[in-house]
Amino acid sequence: MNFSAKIPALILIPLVFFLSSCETLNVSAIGTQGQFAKEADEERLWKRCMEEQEVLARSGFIYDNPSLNSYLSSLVSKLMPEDVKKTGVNVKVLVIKDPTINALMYPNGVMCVHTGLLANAENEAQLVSVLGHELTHFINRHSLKQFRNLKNKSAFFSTLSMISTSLSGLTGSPQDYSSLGLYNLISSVNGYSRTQEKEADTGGFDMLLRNNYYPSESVKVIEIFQQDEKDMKNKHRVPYAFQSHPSNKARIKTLKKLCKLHDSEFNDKSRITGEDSYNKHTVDLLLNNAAMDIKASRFNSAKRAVDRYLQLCPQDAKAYYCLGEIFCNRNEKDDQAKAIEHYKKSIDLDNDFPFAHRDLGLIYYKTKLSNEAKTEFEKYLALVPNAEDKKYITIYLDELRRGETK
Amino acid sequence: MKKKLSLALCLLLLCGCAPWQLVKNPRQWKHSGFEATLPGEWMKFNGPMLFLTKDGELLQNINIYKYKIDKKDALPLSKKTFTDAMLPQEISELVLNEMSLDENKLKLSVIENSPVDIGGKSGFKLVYMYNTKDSLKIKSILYGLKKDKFIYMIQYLAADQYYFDKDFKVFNDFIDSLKIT
Repeated sequence: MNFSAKIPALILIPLVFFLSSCETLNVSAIGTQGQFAKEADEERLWKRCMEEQEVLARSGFIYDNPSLNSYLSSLVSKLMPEDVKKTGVNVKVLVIKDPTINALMYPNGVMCVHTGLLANAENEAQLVSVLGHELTHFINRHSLKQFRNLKNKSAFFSTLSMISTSLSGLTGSPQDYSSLGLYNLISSVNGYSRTQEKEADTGGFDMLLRNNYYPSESVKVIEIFQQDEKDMKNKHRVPYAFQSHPSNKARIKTLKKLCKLHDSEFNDKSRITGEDSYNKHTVDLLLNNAAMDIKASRFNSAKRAVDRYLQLCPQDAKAYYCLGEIFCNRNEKDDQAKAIEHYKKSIDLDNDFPFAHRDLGLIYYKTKLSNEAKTEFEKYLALVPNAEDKKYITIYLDELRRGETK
Repeated sequence: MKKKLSLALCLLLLCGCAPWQLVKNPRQWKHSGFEATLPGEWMKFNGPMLFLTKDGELLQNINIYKYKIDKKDALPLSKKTFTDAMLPQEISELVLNEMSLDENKLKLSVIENSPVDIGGKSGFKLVYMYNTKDSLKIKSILYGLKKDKFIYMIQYLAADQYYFDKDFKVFNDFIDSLKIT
């Protein structure tokens, strides 16, 4: 066989293999064909998810608040289209202790909502817009499509690799194909495709409209995502080509277009933002999430949550202590003075709140204000005689007392 | 001739770079002003400042590592920086903070966080436990101290079941022998 006859055969045989291994991406949405039956690969995908969720359940990362859980479940149930409900498919919501503003949907109907999202969204309408987005991924079975797409791509690139290996003697540069393959594969592994994300944005928007919320809130929540991205100064930012979501700017553009289409509904006074019920159910997690934000150096996000908390519960010693913590940890110009001011305000509101005394004492101790430090440390230990850090505080106090006697 | 020379150099390099080395008998070790007696029959890894194991690095290890003070975002998860003005208590809290953000350390619990004198320097001692994603319970003792421009951490880390208790005394002897200049 000469080379010219060999080339088509070399391409054709692997290509037949590739085509026979391809799986269909034409998957119908849940609820569109009556009863929902999982396909074999989908069954495996769900099983894998359950295994991962078992690890999650043991991880200690789940924020357990029955009232919040039932509130979120009722929202999801309200958003679910009737056709989907009829299939008997359930969606379970888990709240995850994570200060980043995010939510995600497992292929098996388990939705994870980060405390960061609940602390940063301003009302129910904004939250619903995100929940609707995630629900659309689930109902349209995007994960299954993406999973199959990935499998097909793997098969395709294996085939390509076979062809390029066969042709290596002829083309001289088979490695060009491999690097191209790796690039595409990584882009597609990373979450949903941009088309699917667009579909989910539209789906979420429809759910917002159908349930009588103000449509413009869908734009505002993406603006919050955008602000958070700016706050983090794009640290460890994923290059655009590898991002699964379109940029926030592009999403805002798409949602604004949708809002324009429903212009007449903007002034509809019957529409709601659901702020009161949202605040009632999320107020308890605001300071917890702010503490997590501080741990992760997300100071602007922490401040936003504490400010929101203070609007709902003004004159709260813990909230002012939290503000003190933000400034103390951020440690930029003038932050120490701001931290002292907020710790003092916390003590003014509740002189028996121990941690403001301790942290104020630490600042005084480090700035050599010995008498002030001694007073605060003594007050702290009087309030918490068996404090976990008693040994450290005792050392500071001993040193301060020794200084006194010198 | 050139080829032969490069080959000989490569061989020499490879022989000298065996990653693990058996410490047959207890022997003195010195590095960056640290001095201690290494336990006999343990394996020493040639790489970081000190890394020792007896049965395998995942089952138990003794190691020393360091962070540069003022290096921005030295702690990658919390994006925090150690500064020279920090008290040992504050350093220990930053270390715990970083660990609490690590998704590979599930159910992290702190058993002890206390001030200590180590090798003549004031520092802190942390005792903590966590679960790995595979449900393996890990227990660790970590000493930390500030020296020159670095924060040094001296750690004993082992599987809680069987291994931690088995080699706890070896680590204690190592700490007792530690001198810092």
